[in-house]
Amino acid sequence: MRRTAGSLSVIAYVAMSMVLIPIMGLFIRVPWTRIGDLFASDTARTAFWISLQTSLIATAVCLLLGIPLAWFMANVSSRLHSVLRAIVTIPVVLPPVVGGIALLAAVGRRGVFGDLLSSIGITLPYTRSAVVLSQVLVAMPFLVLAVENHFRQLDRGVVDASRVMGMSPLRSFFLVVLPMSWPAVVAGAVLAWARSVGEFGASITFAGSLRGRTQTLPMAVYELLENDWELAMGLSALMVVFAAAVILSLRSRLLNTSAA
Amino acid sequence: MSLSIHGRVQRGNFTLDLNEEFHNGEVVAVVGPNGAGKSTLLHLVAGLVRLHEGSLVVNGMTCDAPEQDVYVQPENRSIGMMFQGLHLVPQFSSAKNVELALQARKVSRAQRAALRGSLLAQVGAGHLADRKTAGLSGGEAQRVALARALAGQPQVLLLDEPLSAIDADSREQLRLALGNVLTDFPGVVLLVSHDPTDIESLATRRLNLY
Amino acid sequence: MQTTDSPVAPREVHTYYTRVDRVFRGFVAASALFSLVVLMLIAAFLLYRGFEIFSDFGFGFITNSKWDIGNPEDTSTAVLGIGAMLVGSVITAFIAIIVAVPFAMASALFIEFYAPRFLRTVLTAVLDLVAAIPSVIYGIWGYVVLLPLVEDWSGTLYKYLNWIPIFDVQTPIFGRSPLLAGLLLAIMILPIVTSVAREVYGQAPRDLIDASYALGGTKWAGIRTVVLPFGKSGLVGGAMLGLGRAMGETVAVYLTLNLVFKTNFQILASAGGNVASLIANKFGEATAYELKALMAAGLVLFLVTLLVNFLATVIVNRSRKIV
Repeated sequence: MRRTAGSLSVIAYVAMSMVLIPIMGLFIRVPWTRIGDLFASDTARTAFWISLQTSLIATAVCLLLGIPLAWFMANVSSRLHSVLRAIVTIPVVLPPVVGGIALLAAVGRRGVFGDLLSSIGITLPYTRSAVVLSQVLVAMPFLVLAVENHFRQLDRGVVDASRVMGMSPLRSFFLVVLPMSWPAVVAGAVLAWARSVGEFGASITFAGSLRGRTQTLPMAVYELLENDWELAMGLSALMVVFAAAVILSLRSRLLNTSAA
Repeated sequence: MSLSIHGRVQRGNFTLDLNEEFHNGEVVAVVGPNGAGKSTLLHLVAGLVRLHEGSLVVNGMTCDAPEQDVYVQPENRSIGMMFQGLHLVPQFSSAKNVELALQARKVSRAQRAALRGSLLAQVGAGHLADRKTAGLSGGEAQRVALARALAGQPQVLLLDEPLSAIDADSREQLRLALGNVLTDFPGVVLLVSHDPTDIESLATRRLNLY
Repeated sequence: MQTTDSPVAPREVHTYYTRVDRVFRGFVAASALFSLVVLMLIAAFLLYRGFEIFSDFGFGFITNSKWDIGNPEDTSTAVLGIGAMLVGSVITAFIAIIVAVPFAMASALFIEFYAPRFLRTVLTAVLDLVAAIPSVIYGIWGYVVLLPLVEDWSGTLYKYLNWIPIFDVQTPIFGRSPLLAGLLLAIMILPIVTSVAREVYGQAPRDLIDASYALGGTKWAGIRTVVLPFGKSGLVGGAMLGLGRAMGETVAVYLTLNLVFKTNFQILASAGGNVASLIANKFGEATAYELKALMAAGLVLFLVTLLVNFLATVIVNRSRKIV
């Protein structure tokens, strides 16, 4: 038995290194002496702010639409639930490029609704809203699935009790269900945010990589690859640090509250 | 003024026929074997289970009558209920749990602050106010649940095994506290219990379900 | 307790939902409907915009490996097909799955049953963290770090195994090959497959494992006889999810696989591509007609991933029924 545990742990450690080595390898190759250039670089700075802005808005939109959707899914009959769940899961495996190109086909200038939208003065492609829309499309399922899973495991008796106490479904949702689900909502939001920050395929097709307008960090890295490898790697490393800082701080706060 | 139920509950293979009148001031011990429908009766009065046919009238107001297309949502009935599983919000303190019930009845913030303390004190749980209910013992949690059930000043009180699963000492104490509460309660009390001592000391009459 | 001078007045009783409640219910239902409609529209729009391509090339669009716009003014001179890209998508995704699944299984079992509490927390956090790393970063790493390594390994594989057709190449020059892209994809999908596997194994009936323990079996015996059979279909579902991911990957494949419009089954040869990277690559300077072709390619990829996802759901559901 010792031996199986041993060999299993060896494989597990190899697997974990496979996950971590790319990140460490990146950090080793980063030309740290040029990190000053990175902070001085206009491309990097604007991309950072655009990424921060769009990913936060996208996360907010995901929360606003995703939480009601998750609650709806947690409350329907099991047959309808499995249908809805299958549909919501599609974007998880939907290649982001396909999502982006579909958005373009729908609301692009030459798209199905393109004329309609431009006639009322709305142009979506190659705008910052397009970046947000792409991120929402890609990130939403992660939030919905995380929160819905929690809603289903919730003690339904507490909801019943709140109704008998005199709460309408709406008040019960805001006063009881949401406060009880706080950790799951935060975890889902972190996941959605992470997806939004890293989003590339959908935004590059639907929003393009216009410096100062729609170019987010991943797109900036991609562009830098062509003319400045070192800077691209430096920017990648900074992105990892940025994401790690946000996720680990939120996670540790979560663990603390759930332990208390 | 009273509570009257004439009708039938049907859920799958399970049916429960009821033909009962209860009067205000009565403490009715609901007894019977497992699966006889004791909890179902309580859920029916609370509005969590609906009648298949017949009618449920609380203090003159028809709350459930499928033939007349009447069904009053649970929140619009005046019920205080202590569930078998208690169903407190584990992340909240005892005081916050009781306060939720006051909030549900739209009691103002200032009044809530005063009332939640006195409600807890009334069931001998004043010292638990700031503790999270997740960390309470069985008996402590039952006190908090009782305070919460009373908070909304209900017309009907439903107690589903309020003294179960606690040790003999605290059971004795809680029974005394519950006795005081019940003698003052103006409306109908339905009390589900298996314990002869509880029924003897608390109830004014018995309802047998088979 | 109730006294007449109590500050809580008896409530008035209303029988119906307030307007706010109805609005809330409507909103909840609408948001559900919205996502459903969006997904149907994705397929519908792609079909609508790509229809001309399917009617021009028919089945050849999927089997043909040539991508030539011909005279941009005259669409009838164009020959467009994504055969090579589809083959590339499938080959790289399969390499990824074959490499990733055993590692994911072992890690999941280790985290769930052997790791001490502290390590478990750390490892779960790591799995979460890597989800946030954009694929372009993996792509860079694959190009800078993994490429020279895989070139070495490819040399060795070719030297000893070139009698197996897939390890054969015309000229022993390796580089951005399907093997490199596949291995990189394996690393990229490892976290998600591990997460799914961990979740599945976590649901295995503990009492049965304990029972096997109590009968004198080892922990490993419990895992082998209870957990593994229990989690088999769940794991297949997780692997399918990873497969879908790998097939849809864009930028990492673009950076580590030489885009060549030639059907290539030799995993060491520096040629290939996948549908997603084709779209991202050709998209920028595409003519109107080529853009339609890219949308048609998007639809094909969408349908393939849907199929994979559907199979995964069926397999996972069947496992639930048995248990």
